[in-house]
Amino acid sequence: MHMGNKRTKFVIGGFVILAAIASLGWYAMSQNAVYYYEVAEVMDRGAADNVRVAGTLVNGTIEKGQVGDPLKFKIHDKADEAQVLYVTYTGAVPDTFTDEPDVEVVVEGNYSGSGTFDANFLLAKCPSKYEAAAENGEQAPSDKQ
Amino acid sequence: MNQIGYTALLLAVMLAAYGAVMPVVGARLGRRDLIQSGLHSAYALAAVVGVAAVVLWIAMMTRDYSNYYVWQYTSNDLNGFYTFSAFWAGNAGSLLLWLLLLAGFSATVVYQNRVKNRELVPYVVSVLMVVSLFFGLLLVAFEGSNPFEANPMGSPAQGNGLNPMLENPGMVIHPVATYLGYVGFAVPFAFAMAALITKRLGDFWIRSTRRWTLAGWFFLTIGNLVGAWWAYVTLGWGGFWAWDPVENASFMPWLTGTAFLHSVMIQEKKDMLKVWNIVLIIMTFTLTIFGTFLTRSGIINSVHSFGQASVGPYFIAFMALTLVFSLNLLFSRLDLLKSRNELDSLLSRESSFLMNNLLLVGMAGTVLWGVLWPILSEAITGDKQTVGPPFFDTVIRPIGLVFMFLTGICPLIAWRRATFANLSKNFMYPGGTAAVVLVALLAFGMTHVWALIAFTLSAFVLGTIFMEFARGTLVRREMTGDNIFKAFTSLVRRNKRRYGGYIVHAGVILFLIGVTGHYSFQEKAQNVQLAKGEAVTVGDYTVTYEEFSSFNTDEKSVGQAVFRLEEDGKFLGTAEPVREFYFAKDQPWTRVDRHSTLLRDVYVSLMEYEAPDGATITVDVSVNPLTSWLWIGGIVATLGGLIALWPDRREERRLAARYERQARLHEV
Repeated sequence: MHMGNKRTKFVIGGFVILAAIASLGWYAMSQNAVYYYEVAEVMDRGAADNVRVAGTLVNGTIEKGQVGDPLKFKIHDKADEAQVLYVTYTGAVPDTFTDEPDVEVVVEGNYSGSGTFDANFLLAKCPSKYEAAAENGEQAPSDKQ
Repeated sequence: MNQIGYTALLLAVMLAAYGAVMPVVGARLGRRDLIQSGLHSAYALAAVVGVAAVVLWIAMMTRDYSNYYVWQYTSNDLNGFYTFSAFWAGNAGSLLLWLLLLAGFSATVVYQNRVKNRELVPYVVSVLMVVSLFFGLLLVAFEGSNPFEANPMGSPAQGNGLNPMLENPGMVIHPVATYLGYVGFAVPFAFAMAALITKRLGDFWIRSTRRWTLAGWFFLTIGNLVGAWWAYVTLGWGGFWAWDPVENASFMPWLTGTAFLHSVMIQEKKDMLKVWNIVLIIMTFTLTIFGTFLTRSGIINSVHSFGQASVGPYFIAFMALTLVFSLNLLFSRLDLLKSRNELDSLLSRESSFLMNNLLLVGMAGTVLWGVLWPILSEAITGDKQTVGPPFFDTVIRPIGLVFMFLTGICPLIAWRRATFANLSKNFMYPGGTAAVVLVALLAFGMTHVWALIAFTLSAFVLGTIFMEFARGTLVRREMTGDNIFKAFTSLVRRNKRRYGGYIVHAGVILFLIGVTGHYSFQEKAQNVQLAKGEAVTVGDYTVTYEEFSSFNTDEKSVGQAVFRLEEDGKFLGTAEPVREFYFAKDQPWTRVDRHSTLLRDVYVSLMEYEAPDGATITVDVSVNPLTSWLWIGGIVATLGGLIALWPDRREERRLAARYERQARLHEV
């Protein structure tokens, strides 16, 4: 009986700690989670503040004026190239953001509801040269040796 | 060359398969010869993987661009040092590095245990070989994972070249150290599985792998630290940790590995927490695979953007298999894992260790939750959500502070049941020191609550560590009559693990002091446009744009700005950040410059400039308080780890005696 009580004490203690951590996690989640959409989805849903959107850079659309001007570019939906979002971004441009085919872009910010997006965060992922070359049909990768 | 390398990998797959099966078959049939043959395949595996690695290195050194991987990551102008590290610049080479380390470790395990642990070792080696087989298969079976793929462009005269961000000493060390850590934890995992299979569930598997665990932890710690340092000095955004999925990937096994490292001590000393320890090593090992998966699969965008999707499902399948196999095995042995002792008081070393464990696992759990949330939220609600740094900061900061407090409590509180006398003897002075520090900080006008708590706790923990060293040294001086210095060194030498551990704790606390200063008091000015002669002021510091120079080479354009740094009008020095643009890769690269003292860094990065004369530029400037303490803490922790790892004859003799006793016991 005595032993059982001791065990209970520790089991309860453990649960209290884990419950505290879980509720902390829950609280942080409710405060900080942002929706993460594809281009087509966000355009479908209309105006939204503080959302994250993933798409593909439309080549040749990067506009950068004078030093200090915002960066402007377009991204299209990964599946549907006709769905295009016009992005304005002010801030540090990541070194991976380059005008290459199939650069995946993630932006975070506010969507106006009418095709323009005001971004305060920008992430870019370059495909390797290899994949880009292959997809352009320049030279298909050969079979494994 | 490609043929030789690829053939070596095929051989490696066959040897791993053989080594996975044969020791177990031999053990089941009681055939010593089969077991031996199986175990020896670990040596052969190490040899053939070694050949594959050497072939890749030679191909890189000789710029054999008919090898696609070599073409991708080297170029004619790359120097020898970074040619060496280009080995693990991409997916295929990183997987080969995993396999190389694992094969080397497996061979070492076989060699170390050639006369001992006879019952466990066949299963240990079999488990390690299954892991090798997995990585071997990835290497030979998938396009983009094979480092010996022929170049579809034939044999060009010039290579694509290494990403300039990877041309940094940090990127030579970080991947290797992280992988050494990951692979290091595979050894205790394999011993745990072998112990479950053979039902030899005493603390033998833990004692035999104590050094492996320590080494795994040591390298993973270095890997994480160097990764953070690299991010700080090269990425240019003024921070060292962004809760990037891949940073989280190596942070999670570090957390559970730290828990494991500590809770095995409770099993060694008290024969408790047996099930928990096995759960922890299963978690840690699975998280190392998960970490490799996150980096290699490209499932989540991050700075490690060379991931590749096609191997992803296989990683998930392997993790699922590992979990099902190991947890199932654990459940089937639960009745053999009863503790001989019970937890007694909530105020005891046992329970403070347990609490430290729960906090570490809780942190790992919330980090995992955050990493997986995009996938989970989509599965649950149909809408994809993501969480960023504020989520992790909110969760980890309070848990981390309690954890810090326990770092002071755990080593000193009495076993079983702490008395008031014990508590006051150990904690009165450190508590007093902490109170003095708190009052002093308040008197200086510090109002940041989190920082006040963190600095007060730091003083407390450093106080307990200092007391332990002081008390031990004085006792030793009394006993031997040596002078203080000699008493101190012999104290540490006679109990390396304990005192090495305290030094690691001190290093961690110094690191956290750096984290606190950096996060609580960083001041920034971002996207500031400056013309020559103009200045930006951040806190007490004025940064004046003075000069600009630029030039082009065949491969890149380089622009460098010179800034004059002043503190309250007093000249400090100059900062000369660079922005480069690589033509062939169509990639810019920012090289920050900083003026660093023990109290703060002034950190300047050049974001853009008007070519060619830099009439206007954009800069980010930040003043990062106490950031140097991150690296000082890291160095102290590394030294402590080295002391704890240093070979110890007395410990070896103790272990050998135990082995002998155990062996005699089994003969009876």
